[in-house]
Amino acid sequence: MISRDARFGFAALLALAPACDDPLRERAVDALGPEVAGVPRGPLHRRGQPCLTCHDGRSEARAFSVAGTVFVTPDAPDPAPGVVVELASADGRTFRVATNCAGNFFVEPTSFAPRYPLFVALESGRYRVEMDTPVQRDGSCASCHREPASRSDVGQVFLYATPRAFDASGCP
Amino acid sequence: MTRPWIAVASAAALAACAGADAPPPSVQPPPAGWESVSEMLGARCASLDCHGRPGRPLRLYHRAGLRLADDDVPGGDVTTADEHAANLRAAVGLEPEVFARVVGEGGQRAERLTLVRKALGREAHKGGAPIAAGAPADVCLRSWLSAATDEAACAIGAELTRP
Repeated sequence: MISRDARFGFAALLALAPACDDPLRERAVDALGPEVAGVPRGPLHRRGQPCLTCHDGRSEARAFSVAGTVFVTPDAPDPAPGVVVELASADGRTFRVATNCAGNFFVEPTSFAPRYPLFVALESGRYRVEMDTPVQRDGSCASCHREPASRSDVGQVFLYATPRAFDASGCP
Repeated sequence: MTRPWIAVASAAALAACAGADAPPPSVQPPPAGWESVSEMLGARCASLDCHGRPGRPLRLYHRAGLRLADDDVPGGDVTTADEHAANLRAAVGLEPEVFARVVGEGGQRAERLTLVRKALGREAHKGGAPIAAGAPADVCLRSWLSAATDEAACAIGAELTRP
């Protein structure tokens, strides 16, 4: 005979277990800090952060296979909406996704799960720039593209190396 | 009576720490061609999300990935001599005794090395199989282990082509 309280407690433990199984993950999530004021959870939030820290299929957040943020230039915080991100998987498959008004893009594994190495290119109109080196295993752009650039970080993903006119008029 | 043991243990601990910085004296890595091998491994394994991440086992430096000098950044022109030397220590120091045996036997049965097994995807490896068996990168690595580095294979192996 198991009491109702005991059953409830066991169910609560089971429900909590997936969230508590990896202290490193929890620490990484905590390190991201709180949401920016005025930007609710959703497709426009947390630009420039490593998306798959949370969107890894191990929490209530939607799982992504590849996700990140594109900025207009390397030095300014202006996001680049409407940029097409081309993802070329090692097995020859290609997937294209556009950035939103926060410069964010995200791909769900049901749509495209790349085989690494993954080659990335950005396109805006006729302009195209290819990433010098392929991604080897991490679907979060910001795992490597962190600010500030250092010996172990590349700095944010950018479309243009130097300031140039960019039309973001479709965004609020 | 305990002091001598403490001294021995301390010496052993120091020796273990020293092993992280330099190859054990019994290991003699093939001297020629390492930089070509290092460039190939760097191109295939040392991206910032793999072995170019600080804290990762077999930490590798490369001009396009993790840099050794604080004032260097990923995407530079060349992998420096110090970075190649650090890569050599990482590769040899992973399994120094096994490495010594493989090299001492002319590179025979190179799969004894975890480095080779993981690179070929024959052992669980988060990064999959960055080197295909028989491909130039594989030839490069094995040729170095047999002290006859195939520089041409290494150069081809260092190129990753967009599909």
